[in-house]
Amino acid sequence: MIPRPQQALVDLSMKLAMSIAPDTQSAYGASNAGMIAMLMQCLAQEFDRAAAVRTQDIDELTALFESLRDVPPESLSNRIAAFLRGTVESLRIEHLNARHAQGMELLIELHAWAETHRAEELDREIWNFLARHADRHAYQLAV
Amino acid sequence: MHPALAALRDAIERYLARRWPHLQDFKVSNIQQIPGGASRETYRIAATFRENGAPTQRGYIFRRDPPSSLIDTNRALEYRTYEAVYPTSVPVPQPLILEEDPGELERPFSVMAEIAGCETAIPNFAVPPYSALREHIGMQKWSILGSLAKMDPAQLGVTKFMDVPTRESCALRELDYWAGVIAADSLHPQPIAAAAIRWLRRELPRKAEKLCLVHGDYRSGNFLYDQTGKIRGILDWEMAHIGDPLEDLAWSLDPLWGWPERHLAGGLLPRRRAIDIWQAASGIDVDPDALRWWQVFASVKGLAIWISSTEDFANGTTKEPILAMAGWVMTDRQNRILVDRLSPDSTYRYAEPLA
Repeated sequence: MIPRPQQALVDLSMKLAMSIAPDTQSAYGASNAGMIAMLMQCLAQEFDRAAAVRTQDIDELTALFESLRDVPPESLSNRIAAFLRGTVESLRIEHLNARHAQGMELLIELHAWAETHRAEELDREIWNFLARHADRHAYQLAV
Repeated sequence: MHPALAALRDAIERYLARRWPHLQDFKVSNIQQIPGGASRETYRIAATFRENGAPTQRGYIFRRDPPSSLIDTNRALEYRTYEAVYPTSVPVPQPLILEEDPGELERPFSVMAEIAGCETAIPNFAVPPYSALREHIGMQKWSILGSLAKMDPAQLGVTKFMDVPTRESCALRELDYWAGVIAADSLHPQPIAAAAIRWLRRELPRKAEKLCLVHGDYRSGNFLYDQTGKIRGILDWEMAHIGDPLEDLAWSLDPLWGWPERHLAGGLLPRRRAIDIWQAASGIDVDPDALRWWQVFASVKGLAIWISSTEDFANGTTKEPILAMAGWVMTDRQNRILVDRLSPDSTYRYAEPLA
């Protein structure tokens, strides 16, 4: 096991950006080294939060689906019910991604339905979820 | 020098010496790959030769198709657009050669004259000496764009090689294209893009004020400016097409291009000021509803490009870091901008509402 991998990625990215990139002979090489350092910062953040943000999204989607007061057509309702009966296979990112994708596909259909059936409160709830979703997946970078 | 770069230098030297036999003793004295060329491999070349007996030095820009690219574009269309715009008041580098035979240097390429002594970087605008030149640079940036909007595409000659939509169809044509890119390249469901595309389909503008040559990527970072703040060349015409003049204006105002100073369009001017300059130069009064539509469209188009670059980085062959940078970081920012624009509870954290 690699101890403290998030910190290791940050430290390695700083080494790349501060020591290796300036020593690179070409502007192209230095620019790529700098970009890779920044991408490593993203990976460090993603490593730390990957399971948490996906789980939060899935939990909020589940709560939104469970609290539906407007009733979408049967075919969509049935698939939402099937999603609510399901569980995530494990905490591996691959499995969380699969469950997350299922929930997001249903959300897209539900949102489209809400827009065309004047379900304004549901539309608002979905937008508020999307705002939280976008914020929690944001990378904190200096530039 | 990397052996592959040295080999490319020698191959370019042989090619140009053969292509320009009137230049004697043609030598490529230096070659550097320019960082950030996301859609083409871009190299700066310094050459020495004798012209009519006189020793001469000149710089060129060599742009070659990459094995995979951030934007799937038509190199001939881009080159012919440079040819059309070069004689006008819109400053662009002089196009010199379009070589479409991949047998010459592995992949097709173009050669342009270098505009030396210039910068393109956006972060410069926040620090001296360029921070004092923001108004000057911004004034030119949106005046040039306004003058492009004023030109007749037929007189420019671009209608000979570009599709000409109608004023009624140009918005839908662009939307269909970029919605198709998102549908084809998404590696994960995109609920924000999907909601924005539905909004765009519901709110389609009825008719463009006029048709013009649209640059397609008119933003800070895509023009050359010198130390006096003079804009010397508008670059990267690979997404040029004929369409609604508001398309370029909206794209140039996207908060992404001023990040992290999002209150300044392109890191230069308040958005309202940029619009006023553009209106004066183009002679077009901006319809706020139409501009709002094109602003949402601009963020969807941006998202399409970032989603596409994510896919390209994951499945393509080049593994250029800029593809991952665009794909990971820009997707996240563009999603936040779109929510900001469309959510009924938006607090407009990323850009003030203009309409």
